[in-house]
Amino acid sequence: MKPNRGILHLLPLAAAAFALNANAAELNIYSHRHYPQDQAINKLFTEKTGIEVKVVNADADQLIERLKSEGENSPADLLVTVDAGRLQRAKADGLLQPVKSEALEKASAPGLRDAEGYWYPYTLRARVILAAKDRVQKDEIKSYEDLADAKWKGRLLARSSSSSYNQALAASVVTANGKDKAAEWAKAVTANFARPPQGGDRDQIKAVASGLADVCISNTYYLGLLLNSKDEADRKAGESVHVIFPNQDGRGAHCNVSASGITKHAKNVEQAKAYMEFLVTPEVQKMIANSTYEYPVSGDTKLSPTHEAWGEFKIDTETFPKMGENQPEAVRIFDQAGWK
Amino acid sequence: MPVTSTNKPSPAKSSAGGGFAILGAWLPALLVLTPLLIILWRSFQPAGEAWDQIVENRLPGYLRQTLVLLGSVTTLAVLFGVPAAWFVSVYRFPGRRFFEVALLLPLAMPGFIAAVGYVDAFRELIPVYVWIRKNWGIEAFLKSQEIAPWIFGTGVLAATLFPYVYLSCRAVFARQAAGALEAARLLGAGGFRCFATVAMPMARPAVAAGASLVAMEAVNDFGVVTHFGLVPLTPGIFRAWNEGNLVSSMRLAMILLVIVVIALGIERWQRGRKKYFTETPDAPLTRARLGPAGVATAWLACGIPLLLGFLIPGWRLVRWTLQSWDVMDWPTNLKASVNSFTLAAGATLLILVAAFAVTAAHRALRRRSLLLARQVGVLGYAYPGALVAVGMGALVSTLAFDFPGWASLALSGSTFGLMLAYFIRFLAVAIQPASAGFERLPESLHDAGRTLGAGPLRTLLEVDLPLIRPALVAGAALVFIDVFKELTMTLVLRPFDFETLATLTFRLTDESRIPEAALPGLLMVSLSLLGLIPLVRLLHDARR
Repeated sequence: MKPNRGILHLLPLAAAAFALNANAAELNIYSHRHYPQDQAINKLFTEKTGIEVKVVNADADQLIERLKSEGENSPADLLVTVDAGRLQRAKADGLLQPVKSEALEKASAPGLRDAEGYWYPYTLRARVILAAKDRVQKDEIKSYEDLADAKWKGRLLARSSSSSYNQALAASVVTANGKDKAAEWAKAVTANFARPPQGGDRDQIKAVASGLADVCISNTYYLGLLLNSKDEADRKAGESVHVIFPNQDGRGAHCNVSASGITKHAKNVEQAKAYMEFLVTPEVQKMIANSTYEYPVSGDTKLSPTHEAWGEFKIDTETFPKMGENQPEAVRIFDQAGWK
Repeated sequence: MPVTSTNKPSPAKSSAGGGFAILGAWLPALLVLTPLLIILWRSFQPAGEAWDQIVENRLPGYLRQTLVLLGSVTTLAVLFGVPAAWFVSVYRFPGRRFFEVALLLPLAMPGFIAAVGYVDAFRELIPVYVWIRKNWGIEAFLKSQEIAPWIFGTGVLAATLFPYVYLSCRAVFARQAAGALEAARLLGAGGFRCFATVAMPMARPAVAAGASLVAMEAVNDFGVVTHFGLVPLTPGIFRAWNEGNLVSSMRLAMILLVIVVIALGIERWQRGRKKYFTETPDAPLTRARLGPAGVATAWLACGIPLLLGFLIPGWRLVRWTLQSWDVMDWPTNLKASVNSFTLAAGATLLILVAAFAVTAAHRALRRRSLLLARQVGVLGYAYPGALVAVGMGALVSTLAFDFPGWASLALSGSTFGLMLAYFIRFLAVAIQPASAGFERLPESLHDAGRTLGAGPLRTLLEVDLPLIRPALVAGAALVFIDVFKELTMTLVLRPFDFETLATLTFRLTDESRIPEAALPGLLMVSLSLLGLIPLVRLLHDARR
């Protein structure tokens, strides 16, 4: 197809885009994260460095597709996702470049970052089991595998399998137990659902609190947000469930990360690196622990009282590196199980 | 009196001007065709194992859900829209004037905003479900959980989309069918008999036209179905694309397109070859007074859709906005409003000019090829929004190949790409009323202008344009509201740091920050209401 040059000449915006690119004191981020706290963090970064931060928010997959289609013309300097699997995929697709930084290496455990430095995490999210305090004993469920037990029929809730959180969890089950067992697991878990998946993690917690079901799968930070909400109904919902960190006698609780990597064709590499290092400073790590209730990736950070109440737990670093690799298998397993 | 028109020989002779007009009419259609061509070309590329997996595990569910959704939403929208239009047009009762205008309000209520209001209601029903489990057992409980999202999803979509049916039927009941209804009354037919034997047969094409708009909106919906956990084709396309299976997503889109084309075919078939118009000016109907039982029925018929489609969700938004007044981020909301307004106004202007070009060229030249151009132009409305976005992405990479440097940047990262997507998707919204306007306009008027020596362009601008202006204004209002509410394509194609009210609301609801999402939602509803003003004025003009 021959492109119409006439149309392109009509684009004064192109010139504006060029002018923006020439500005050195800026940083363009493609990000899956869009919390108010992120804006506060970006503002603080601009105050400290004078580097202006511009953000495009979208699903990680959309951002990856966009990076691919834009190629070397991409304005993005940094890709931020809330799923290590997506960054593993972006790396495999040649969309990222490695960065060497002592600060970044020091900040996170080796098991939770890319061995070659293509991306580094800055927050940690534990995907756990939450159960109604008045209907489920804390020791009734010990592992993700226990959720497949038929005794939970009509009592279990989880969000859609299109959620990267669930895909990462299933990928970890594939890595730990093999394809066939993981497929059986997904099928049995789906059969236990109290309703077809809908809404986000918070909606599952609220539904358990209101008695629609007894158990749900959720990230801990959603519970943290409910527990610290201004809305009394939210706080009550949060208080009605206990946190069960699964597989503590085995591989540990499944965790994912928010992480960032510099894009292959980044124009502002230094600014991007400075931003990544800024994210793991004690100041920002503390902001994260006290605002989004994710776990800070840096072990030295003092946790919030909400985190303290949940207690310490073992992280599954065993299956973590294969999160991206086994994600397609996880999707297949969900499909076969009918987990919508 | 209905008149069946025959194809008259075209008075226009081929000329350079005619050639130019044909080009002008085809250009929009060709633009609309672009994503389709890209999708056709790409979907025959190998899709690998991912496609087999989708066909085996997801496609049957997607098809079933799409068809159920299509059937239930259209049926319910007709049930909401037709009786309301009937009562408002044919009878006199207290509140009639209020309902006449208020029944348009749901047009300004985006489905995904209304859905948020009902998610809340959905949650408040939980004690009922718990009661079902306790008393009727787990199987009944699980069944109720499967059915509930359908009731809510179908209800919200129908309650926000029925005005399309209402609008198209109102015109028929109030004016075109007036003479026949008057005669039926004089012959002693009662209200229901008039409705069933005179008004409905005459309104059938209008019902079909309205219902086809509802159907296309319903299958293209992403926000409402996602909220209630339904999985018809559109979220399926989006999902396959998200998973990196571009080719699979394009194939799913082709399937959806086939379904929509079949639905459109049914509409055409319903309309048949008949054209309903009178050569004499329409005489407005004298409205009959209703008795107390009749008034109660009219209130129910008009009140229920209005409550469900506007008042209940609107009231929720207001309540949440007041609740979270202190934490509201006004600058962000203001910026998003300006963005939404600018985009919608710009797209409306572009689309209006194109829609007139496409339909007017056909009136002046009466070429079969121009009828085809019009039909092609309408196709864009059937495209899933997500796929227009994917098509744009593919187009961008093609362009970038020829224009290394800035083509992709300009196209994907600017409002230009977004405008083009809106143009492709919503051209039909303006073409439909414009072409209906021309159809109601006897060809003899245009011919008279030509016989008196005016050229085709002058006749179009001086004779036809003023006469179809109300139809164009109606089209413009609908386009404005549609672009204003558009979410899916805007999410993907918008430039850096660019948020519209729709994307802002979506993001906040996605993060379960419902009270904060209420303000941009409410702003979106309020500003969409501005777009309704021309429609309301149109109704007033019609009444005179």
